[in-house]
Amino acid sequence: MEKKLWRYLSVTLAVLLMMGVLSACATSPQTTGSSNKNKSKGSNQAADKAGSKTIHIMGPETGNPHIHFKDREKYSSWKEFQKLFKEKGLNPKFEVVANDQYQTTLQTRMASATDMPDFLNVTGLGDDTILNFVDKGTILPVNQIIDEHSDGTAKQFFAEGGKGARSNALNAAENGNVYWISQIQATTYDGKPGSTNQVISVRKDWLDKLNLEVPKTADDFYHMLKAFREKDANGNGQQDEVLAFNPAAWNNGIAQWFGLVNEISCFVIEDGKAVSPWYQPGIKDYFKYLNKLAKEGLMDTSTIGGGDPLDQVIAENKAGAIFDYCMQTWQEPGTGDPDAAYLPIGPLKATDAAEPILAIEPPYLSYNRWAFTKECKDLDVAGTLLDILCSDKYMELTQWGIEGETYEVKDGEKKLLPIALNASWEQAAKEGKEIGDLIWANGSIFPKRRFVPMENEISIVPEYKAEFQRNIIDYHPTTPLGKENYFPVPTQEQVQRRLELNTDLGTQSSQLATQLILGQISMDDWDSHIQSLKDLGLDEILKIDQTLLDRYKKNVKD
Amino acid sequence: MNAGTAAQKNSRASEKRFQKMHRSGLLRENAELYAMMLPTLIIIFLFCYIPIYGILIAFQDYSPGMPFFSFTQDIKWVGLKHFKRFISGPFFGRIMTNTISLSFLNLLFGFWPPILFALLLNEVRSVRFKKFTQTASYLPYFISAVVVAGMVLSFVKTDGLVNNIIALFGESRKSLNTEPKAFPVIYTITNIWKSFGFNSILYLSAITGIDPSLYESAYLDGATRWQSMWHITLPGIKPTISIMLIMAVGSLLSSNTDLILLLYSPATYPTADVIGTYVYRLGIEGGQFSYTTAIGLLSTVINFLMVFASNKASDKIAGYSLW
Amino acid sequence: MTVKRKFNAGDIVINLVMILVCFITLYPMYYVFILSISDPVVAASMKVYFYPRGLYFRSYSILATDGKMWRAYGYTIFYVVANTLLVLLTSITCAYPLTSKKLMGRKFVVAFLLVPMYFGGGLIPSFLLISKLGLYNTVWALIIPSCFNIWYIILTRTFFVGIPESLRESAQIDGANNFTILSRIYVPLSKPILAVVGIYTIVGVWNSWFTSNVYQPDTSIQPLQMYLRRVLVQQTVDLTKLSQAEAEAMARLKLSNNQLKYSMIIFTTLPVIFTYPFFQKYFVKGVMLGSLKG
Repeated sequence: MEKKLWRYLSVTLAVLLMMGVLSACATSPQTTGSSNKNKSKGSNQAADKAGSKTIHIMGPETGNPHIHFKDREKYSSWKEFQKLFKEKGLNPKFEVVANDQYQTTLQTRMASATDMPDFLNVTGLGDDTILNFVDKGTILPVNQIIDEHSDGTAKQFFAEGGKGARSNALNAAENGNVYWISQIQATTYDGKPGSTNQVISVRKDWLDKLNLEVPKTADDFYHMLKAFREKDANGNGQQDEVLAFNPAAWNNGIAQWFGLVNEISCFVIEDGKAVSPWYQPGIKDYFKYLNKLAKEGLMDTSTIGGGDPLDQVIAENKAGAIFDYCMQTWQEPGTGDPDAAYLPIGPLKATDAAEPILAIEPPYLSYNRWAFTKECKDLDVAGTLLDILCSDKYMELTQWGIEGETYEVKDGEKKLLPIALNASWEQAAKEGKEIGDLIWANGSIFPKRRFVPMENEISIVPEYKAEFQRNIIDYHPTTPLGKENYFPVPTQEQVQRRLELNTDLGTQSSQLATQLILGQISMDDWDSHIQSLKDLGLDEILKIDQTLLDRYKKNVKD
Repeated sequence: MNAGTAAQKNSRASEKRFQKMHRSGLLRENAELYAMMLPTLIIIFLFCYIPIYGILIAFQDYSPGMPFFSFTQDIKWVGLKHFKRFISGPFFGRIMTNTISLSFLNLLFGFWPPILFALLLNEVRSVRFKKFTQTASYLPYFISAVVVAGMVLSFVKTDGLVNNIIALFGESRKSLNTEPKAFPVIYTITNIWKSFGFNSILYLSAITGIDPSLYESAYLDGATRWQSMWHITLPGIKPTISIMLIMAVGSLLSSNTDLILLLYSPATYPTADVIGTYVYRLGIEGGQFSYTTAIGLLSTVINFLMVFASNKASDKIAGYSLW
Repeated sequence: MTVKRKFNAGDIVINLVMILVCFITLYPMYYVFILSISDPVVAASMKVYFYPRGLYFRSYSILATDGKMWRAYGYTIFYVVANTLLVLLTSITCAYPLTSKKLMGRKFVVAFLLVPMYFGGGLIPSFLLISKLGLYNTVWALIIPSCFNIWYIILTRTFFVGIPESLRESAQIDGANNFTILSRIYVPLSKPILAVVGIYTIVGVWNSWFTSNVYQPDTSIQPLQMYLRRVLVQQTVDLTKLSQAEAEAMARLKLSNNQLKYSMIIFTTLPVIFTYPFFQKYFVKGVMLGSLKG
C-alpha cells in the first residue's frame, strides 16, 4: 500500500517538475521563436560593436490585410528608413503585437511593469492612466527630451510655425509639459486648410427614376422619403424604403439640419462655446420631425444603435438615404444594386429656430499617442529617435514612399502612382512598393505624417460627389467630427470627473433621445427630462469642455 | 468482479470492523486521500488564491502602475466609497431589478426544459434517432452570440418572421426590437434555445447512472412509462437537479452580458440594462478599475450568499447539498 | 434496455416533440450554412431562407488556404487534449476524497474549493503571477492555469456520492487502498459523468480565446479561436481617418468578408460534432451499475 502511495507521489512530483522545466525552456526565445523579448534589460542602450545604440520599440501591427510590419524588409521604403537609423547610430529593436491584442498587452505590461520597451504606442491607455503613469515617472516628458537632446530637427518641427506646432500645443498638459507625440494629418483645399464632412446622402438613381427633385428643405426630404416608399423605388413590390441612420447618436446628419452639435457636449467651431444639443433652440423641432418619420415608418427602428442592422438595411437595398462621408464610395456596392448612387445633400433648412450646421473633419488632425518610458535611460537615444520621426525624409517616406516606385513629380508637385493611390495592397505587397503609412505608420509602430491637398482625393470620386465637396468647402457654421482635436490634455481632476459622469449621462441622454423619437415618452414633460440630465452633471461636463476650449484658444493660433 | 455481492453480505460485519479500526489506520487513510488531492489543491492555491489580493483595489483609488498593497508607497485607501457610489447611483435600482428579473425569468422558464428534454429523450426508442436529436439539440450552443443576435433581431423586425406571423392573425405589426416590454421575452427565449441542449447532457448522464433493475421491477409491477419516469427517473436525477438549482440561484446577479449587449438598444435600456452591460459601458469610457472591481465584488458577494442560503435550504428540504 | 413496451400513443407524442426540437435547433444551423455560401450582399441582407442564393465559397477558401489557420488548429487540438486529460485527472482525484466520511478537515477543503468559484483577483495580479512563473508567452499559459475546474470537481463528487458506499467498504476489507478503489471501482462506474466533464471541457477549451489574448502575444502559439477572432476583427476597421482609396478598399473587404462569421461557425463546429459520438455513447446508453453485478 505504501509503495503505491509513494509511486503516486513521485509520479506527481516528476510531472510537476517536468512541467516547470519545460515551461522555463519555453520562455527562452529559441523555443518560442518570434517573441524577441528583451531579456537583457540591463544593457538597454549599451552601444554595440558598430557604435550604434539599441532602442526597444513596441507597437501594434498596422491591421492591413496584405501589408504587414513583419515583412518590412522587402519594401524599399523601409530600407531607406533603416538608413536613417544607421546614419544616426540607432539600432531599433521591434516588438510587434497583433492589432487586436495590442490593447490588452499594453495595459497588462504597463500596469505590471513587465518587459516595458523604451518607446511605444500608448493610444490604448486612457487619459487618466497615462497621467497617472506620468505622476509615477513611468512616462517621460517629451518636451524636455526635445529641448535637451534633439539636434534641432524635432525642436523646429514642434516649434511655432513648424508642422507639428499645433499637435504639440494640443498635447500639452496644464503644466505646459508634453508627454506624448501624435500622428498628424493636415488637409488643404486650394492652398487653404480644408476638409471633408459627413452628411445625409440620398439615392440619386431613385430620384431620377421617379422624376423627383433633389430635396432643398427638411420638408422636401420628408416628402421624398414618402415618395420612395409609396412608389416602391427599389421595385421589390414592398413599401419598405427607409432612411437608414442611427438616431441614438447626435452625429447623424439630420440633427445638424436643426443646428444641433454632434455630441452631448460639443461646440460650433465658429463660435467656440461649449454647448449641448439638449440646450439648443432646434431641439424640440428635431424630435418632432424624427417622431413623424418614425411614426410613418420612414425610418427603420432596427438601426437605432447602428452596427450590423444598419449594414443589413443597406444590403436589403431599402436605404433611400444614409449618413456618411460626403465623398464615400463604399456604401453603393453594399446595396447589391449596380445602379445605386448616393448623392450627398447639403445641410437643409429645417426650422426657423436655428441655422443648419455642417459636421466637418477638422483640417488638422492630431491623434493617437506614442511615449517614452523610464526604461529609456539614455535620453540622447530618445532625442535622436524624435529627430528621425520629425525629419523631412521620414515624412516623405511615410506619406509618399520612393520616387518612381510609389510617387512621381509632375510640374513640381508630388503625385502618388496608381499602386499607392488606389490601395492595390496585394500588388504592392508582391512588388515591395508601398508608402510608409501602410508599413509602419497607420496607428501602428510610428506616427503618421500626412500633409495632403484634398484635390487628390476629390479627383478619384464620381463627379456629382466631387461637385458637392467643392461647393460645400466654405460652408459655415460647422461642428467638428471629433472634438478632441480642439481640446488640450485635461487635468487629472477633469479626467476623473468626466469618467465619473460620462457613462450615466450618456445612458440617460441616448435613452431619452430614442424614446422621444419613438414617441414612447411625451415631449410635454420636457423640463423634467432636461432636469434629469442636469442631475447627472450635464452642466459640469459643459463647464469642463469650456475650460479646455478656452485653453485651446490661448495655446493655438489658427 | 463480485465485490458487489460480497459487499452486501459483509456490510454488517465490516461496519463493526471499521469501528475497531486502529487510529493509525484512520491517519493513513487520510494521508492517502490528501496525497490524492494535494496536487490539485496546490494548483488551485497557486492560481486562485495568490492573485486574490487584486480585490483590494475595490477599496482604493487604483490606477494602473500603482501597487496593490504596500507599506512604503502611499495607496489611496477610500473604504467603501465605490460601493456607496454604485448604490447611490441613478441607475442602481434599475440595473439591479433588471438583472434579477432577467435571471429569475431564466430560472423560471429555462431551468426545466433541459430536464424535460432529457427525460423525454430517454424514452425515445430508436437509438439512432435519440443520438441524432441529442446532437442536434446542442448545435445552437455553437452559434456565436453575434450571429444569434443577428438572426433574432432580423426575426423581430417590423417586416421579420415574428411580425409576419402576428400579421397573419390580423394583428398590427409591432416594432418589437425597440419595445422595452418585449425585451425580456426575446432574451429569455433566445437564451433557453441556445443552451437547453447543452445543459441537458448533464441530466442524460445522470439518468444513465440509474439502476435499470428498478425499471424492470416497476414494469413487472405494472407501472406505466409515465409512472416510472415520475417515480424512478426523476428521483434518480434529483441530486443533479438540486445542485444545478443551487448553482442557478447562486448566479442571480449574473446574466448573459454578451447576448444582451448585442440585443439591446437605448430604447430598451429600461428593461435590458443589467450590471454586466453597465460595467461594459463604464469600460468603454476607460479607467475606473476600482469602481468596476467594487461592482463586481458586490455582485459576487451577493451571489455567494445566495448559493450558501440555497444550499442550506436544499440540504434541509431535499437532503442534497453541493458539499 | 430489458424493458420492452409496445409502441403507443406516448411514443408518438415523444417523437413529435423530438422532431420539433430537431427543427428548431437544426434549421438555424442550416440557415447559417446557406448564409455562408450565398452571395455576400444577399448574405448581408439575411434574406435567404431555404436554399443558398448565388453560390460563393470565398469565405471558406480564405480560411482553408491560410497556413496560419492550420497551425492554430494544431495548437488548439494540443490544448484541448492536454486540458481534457488534466481536468479529468484533477476532477477525479479531488472529488473522490471528498466522498469519504473519514476525511478530516473536509469542510475546510470544501470551503477552499468554493471561494475561488466566486472570488478572483482580476487581470493584473494573475498576469503578474503568470509572468513570474515564466508561463507568459508560452503554450503552458493555456494549460497549467486551466488544468482544473472546480465546478467539475463538484459535479464529479455528486456522481461519486451516488455510488453505494458498500462497494468501497467491501473493497477495503479485501485490502484495497483508496487508489485502487478509485481506479477499479469509481472510475469505471463514473463513465457517464466523466464523459460529461470531458465534453464540457473540450467545448470550453475549443471556444476559448481570452486567456490566449492576455498571455500569448506570440501569434505562432495561439489557438484557433484567436486566429478566427483576428480575421473577424480585421474586417471591422474604423473607416475614418483613412484616405479615400484605403477606406473604399477596406469597405469592399468588409462586405465580402462579412459572412466569414457564418463560415467560421460551420468550420469550427464540425470537428466538435464529430468527436461528440465518442462521448455520447457513454450517456445515451451508459454503463449500468447492474453490469457490475453480473
